[in-house]
Amino acid sequence: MTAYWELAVVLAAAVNPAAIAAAASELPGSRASRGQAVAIAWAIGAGMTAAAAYGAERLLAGLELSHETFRIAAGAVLAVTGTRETWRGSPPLSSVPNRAWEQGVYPLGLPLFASPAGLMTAVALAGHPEVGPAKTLGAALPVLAAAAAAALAARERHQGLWRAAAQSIGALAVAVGVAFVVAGIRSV
Amino acid sequence: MLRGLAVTLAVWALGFAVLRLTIAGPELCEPPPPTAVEASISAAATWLSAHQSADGRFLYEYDRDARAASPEYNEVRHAGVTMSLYQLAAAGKPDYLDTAERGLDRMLGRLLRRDGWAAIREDDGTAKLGSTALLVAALVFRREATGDLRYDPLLAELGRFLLAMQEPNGRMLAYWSPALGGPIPDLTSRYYTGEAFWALTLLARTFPHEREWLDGARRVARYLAEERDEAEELEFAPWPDQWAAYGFAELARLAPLSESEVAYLRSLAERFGMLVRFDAQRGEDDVSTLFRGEGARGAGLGTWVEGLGALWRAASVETRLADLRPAISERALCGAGLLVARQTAAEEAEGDARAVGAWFRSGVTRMDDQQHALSALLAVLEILTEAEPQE
Repeated sequence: MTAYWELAVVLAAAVNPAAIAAAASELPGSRASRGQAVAIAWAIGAGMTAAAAYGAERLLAGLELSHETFRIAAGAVLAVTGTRETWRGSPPLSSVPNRAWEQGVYPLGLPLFASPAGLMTAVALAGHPEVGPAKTLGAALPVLAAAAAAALAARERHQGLWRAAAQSIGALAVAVGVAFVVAGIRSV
Repeated sequence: MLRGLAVTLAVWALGFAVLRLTIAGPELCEPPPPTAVEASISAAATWLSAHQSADGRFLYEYDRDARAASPEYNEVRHAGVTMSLYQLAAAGKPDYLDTAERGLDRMLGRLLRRDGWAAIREDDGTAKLGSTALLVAALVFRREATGDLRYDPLLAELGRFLLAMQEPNGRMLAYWSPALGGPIPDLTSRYYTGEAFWALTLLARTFPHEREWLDGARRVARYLAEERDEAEELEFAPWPDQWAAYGFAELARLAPLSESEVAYLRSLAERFGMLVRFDAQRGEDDVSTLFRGEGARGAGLGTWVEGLGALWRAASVETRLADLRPAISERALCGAGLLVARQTAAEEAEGDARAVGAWFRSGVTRMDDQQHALSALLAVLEILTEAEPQE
């Protein structure tokens, strides 16, 4: 799992742009305010993913974990998140604010663009000696850009379609999560 | 926003805590310095030597809480312990050779001879493949340590017993029965097959002109790599068989390995690596024990590190495994660090001489805890020696 397209697929499963779009379609506000919120959320997601990728080695050392074991944990989170998305299509959100910049921080920034599954996957990939942070971030940024485009384009009337797409990607996330767990177990 | 954000962060923190307590616990192992490994080996060998009886028996099992020794004994484990002391001598540390010799005398007094072969006899008259295989290994290491060739004819007799227990597909039968006048059909052992395989490879190395040992070893090698786990219904394949790893480390120097054998060794390395990683997450505190269980016993952790040590040697000569060598080395050193840390030091023994140098689990140690840990640390010493910068 080291080719660029494989990394992009794995990160797309972890980020799930369709689930972000489905959630974004529910947010109150104008198109312009959505744009502002998405821009903030993308910046948060990209920043935290970059920090996860470039801080992976230090983080794993700090946690006293090998990247093989961390991959198992990331796989478990992916599988759980994917199961939830397969079931619901998008994460449950509460206390959604009205102001655009606030929506950009929550819920679009955290926990959507910067999600536990996405960040842990970034650490797991970046910590892999054959992948590294640059390749991971190189694959993550287009995925986050796709998520931003989907979030901008999402309308409430298309929510069913986004949810269906999110459920399919959620199923992919489950498969990727299981593959991560197996790969982590089957590593020296 | 703040409320939603706070809830999100709280859920993340809870998730992190759950992961930390379960599958993402810290792997607490540090590669030990060579001096610590040598001290640990000496302490283990001293434990085996100090509590040996006049008849050559070792202290079999000891409960430190009850301060009581078990009356049980096991001849296969006796052979294994004796072998490990000869292994130590062959590695250039002959201080415990007398102890090994007393252990050997006990085995020699229990020989059963039939039809040109010899085996170690159990009290009930049966002969187990495992004890005889480990006697072969012991005698080969003795030969290397002392240069004494007097047991070469016996080695041939013992080797013929191993071959007599082999079926055409390489499967090794575990018990010879006096009532049947032959092996008990269809009865195998998850341990003895690998032990016999290793013994045959050692015979092939020691007597390269005697082709039957290598031929016999190749048959078991194929069986181990392609059939054993499924045929013998060993769950979660591959069975983490350090004896098989020992055997393949020898075989790789004697003959080219097949693709299936290389694939088997890769899967063995993965299994041993995973076991060591998981065990490294088991701390000694109550919380860790509650969520991840108690650390493996010395024999368990020892066998995994022995397996990694053997695979490291195999990867040194088999180019198709060379990419695994750094990871195997790292994991073996991690396991060695755990072994050194978990060994009972004199200051922890509370004046109990039978505790010093031993590995306890739930307050109990058995002689093979010391045997496997000793052999494992010897293997790691080889890795550490290579890792040291050459002047």
